[in-house]
Amino acid sequence: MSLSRKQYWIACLFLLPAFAIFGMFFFYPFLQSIYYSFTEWNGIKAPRYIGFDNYRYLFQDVQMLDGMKNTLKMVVFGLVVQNPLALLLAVLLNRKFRTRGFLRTSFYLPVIISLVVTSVVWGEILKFDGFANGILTHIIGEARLQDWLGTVYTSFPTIILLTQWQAIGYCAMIYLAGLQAIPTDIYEAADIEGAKGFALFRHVTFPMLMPSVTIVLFLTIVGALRLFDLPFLLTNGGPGSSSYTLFLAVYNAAFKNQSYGYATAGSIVLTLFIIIVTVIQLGITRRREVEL
Amino acid sequence: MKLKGLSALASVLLLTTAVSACGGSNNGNNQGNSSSDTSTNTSSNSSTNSSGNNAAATDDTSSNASTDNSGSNAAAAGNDKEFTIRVGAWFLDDRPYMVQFKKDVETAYAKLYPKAKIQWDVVLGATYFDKLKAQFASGSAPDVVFYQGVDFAKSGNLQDLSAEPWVARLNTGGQKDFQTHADGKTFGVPMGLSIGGGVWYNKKIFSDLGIQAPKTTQELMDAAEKIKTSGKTPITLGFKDQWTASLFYFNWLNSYQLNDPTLGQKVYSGEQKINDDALIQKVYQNFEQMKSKGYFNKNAISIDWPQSGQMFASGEAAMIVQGPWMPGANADNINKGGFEKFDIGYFPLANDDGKVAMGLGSNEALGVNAKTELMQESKDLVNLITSADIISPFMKGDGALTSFTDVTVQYDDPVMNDVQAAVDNSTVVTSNLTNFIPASAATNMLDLLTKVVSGVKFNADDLKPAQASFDKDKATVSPPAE
Repeated sequence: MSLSRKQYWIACLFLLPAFAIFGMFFFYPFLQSIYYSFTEWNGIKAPRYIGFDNYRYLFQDVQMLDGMKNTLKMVVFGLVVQNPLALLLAVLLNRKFRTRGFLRTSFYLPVIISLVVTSVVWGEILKFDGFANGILTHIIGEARLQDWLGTVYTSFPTIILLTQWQAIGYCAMIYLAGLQAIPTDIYEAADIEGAKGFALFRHVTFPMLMPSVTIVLFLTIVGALRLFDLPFLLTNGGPGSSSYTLFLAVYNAAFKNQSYGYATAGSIVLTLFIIIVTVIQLGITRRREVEL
Repeated sequence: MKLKGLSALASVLLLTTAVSACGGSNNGNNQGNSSSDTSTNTSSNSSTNSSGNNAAATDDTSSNASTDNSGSNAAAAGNDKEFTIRVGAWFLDDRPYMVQFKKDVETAYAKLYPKAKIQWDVVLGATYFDKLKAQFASGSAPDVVFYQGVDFAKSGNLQDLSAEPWVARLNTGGQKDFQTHADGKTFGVPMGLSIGGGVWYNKKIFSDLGIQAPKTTQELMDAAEKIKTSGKTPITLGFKDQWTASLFYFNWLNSYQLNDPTLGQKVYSGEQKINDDALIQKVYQNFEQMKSKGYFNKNAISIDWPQSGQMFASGEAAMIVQGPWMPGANADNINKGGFEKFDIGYFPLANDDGKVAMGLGSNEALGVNAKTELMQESKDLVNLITSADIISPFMKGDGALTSFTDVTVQYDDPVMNDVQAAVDNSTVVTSNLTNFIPASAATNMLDLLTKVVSGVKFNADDLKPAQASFDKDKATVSPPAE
């Protein structure tokens, strides 16, 4: 047996325990879940095979459709608003000024706070007789005050805004790291060539920042598609299904409606959706990355 | 190199062996203990059962309890086997009557099995049921389980307990209890009979405003109007907890269903569509009217049940629609919040004509895992829990009515007399529409309710998703017998 073959088999042996654990707790359940996605199963009675009914119903179910709409809203908001704002913040925080360190810490601080704690605190601030309305009553008047998490028109927009409290600081830090990794001699060369202001940003900074853009867009899109915690903790999808997300719709199908087969079908579609979207996104942004 | 390869292989094998040995060792121990316990205890427990039967024939409550326990003690004589029996529950928290319940059970069981240990597998809240399903599926469920929902019995997870001595002691309500009976068999102990819910009101506010307990929907609206005019919130809702919305809606629908008592069967058979039914729509219209007139708290959707309870306890709101635990919970809220004490009253949700149907059934059911290896020990544990000494304080704490002919419950709060009177003067039902539709359809209905209470106008078409969910998941429903 050649040396490389021996090393190959030894490596396989070392991988075996991890593979066994993954196989038992991930691969096997995943394969099983494909089977369950074709069944009607409430977790108590025996599963009943129903073909593609679960998959068909996904596109008629109000909760899933509302979840899909809201999830897409979150993705679009993440790309169009959150991402540019984070980049702008990173550019500003990359400048030299007195309180730079303090501001960098301040913007990143929300990221380290538990989402459950965040939800409780924001829930208290936003409740009808809470702090936010206490201030707003002097600005917009009492008649226009809302139960921000308690109406179909404001619940999900409020949740989107709350996600930004953590997301913008997090993405800005990734951009900031990217900005600091750009060699200064490139800027010096550009300066000699006469590039300044927005032209400098467009033709030098942004192309050099593309690896960070790839990461941030990936995290933004996947984060938006996986949005669950905040709506679960703050509104549980309500009122009605106005603040459902796809992930929450799948969760509620399983653990509220006891439709485990249907929820499994939803989770498989969601997984495929996330894979397709991220592959497309990575394909687009990676092509634009600049090799140093 | 060869040596390295062999040692690597040996390490992997060792790890694998160690891991599997750990599992094997546990199983072996459990099986060993369980099988020996089961075989040893079977004969002694048969005498427990017979003494229990004797007790059931006696009318006096206190003597029954002592007879049960003494019978158990006699059976326990010479029983010194060691075992751990697991009891699963979702509600055994640190409330004083819950703590006392556990203590009483442990003390009584120690007399029966001196070396036995009770392991309380408590997961508070609805997560318990998800865990319980997984445990039944994997064969690791507790020996004795508190449960909700007849499906656990119908699917073969629970042991048929029809031959147990306490079955003969069940009163009419206990015998008709929906979730403990299926296919003519008894699968669990109804731990008291709870009203589905109703309206608890602040007597001081009512008397100050000269309001009598409303007897029809219109009277309820009139009372709410008077309260609103006085500056108080008429009814506080905590619909962030969707079960509170369910409790309110389906209890009200119960009374309206008196105009069509077979509505549930009709929906189940497909004769009646959920979105076309006038009674179902009427209750939504009631909510819509109350919302539009400002009879609910403005944060009804974004606060949960404890926060709505606080509003009621503080005197900020005059009414709250809740379950039988409200007197105890309200007294607790008043103490903790330092609010001014007040008496509470109770009235059921009536229909337009003043007719009332009240749901009555067990909140907690107690059964035995059909696959337990401690079968007799589990039955003995269930049997002793039914003794008056143990179950009566539990029912009192729960605000439940008795489910046994020989167990009486003395309540501290006189409002429970109002509850009893309401039950006596109403049509008692043991099931409601939710027993005929899948959970997904009920969720759709409640989603619509929260939407309406948030201020959206009711549209009957918005009930179509509930009908669609019903059509999709109908096979998961186990409807009550006719």
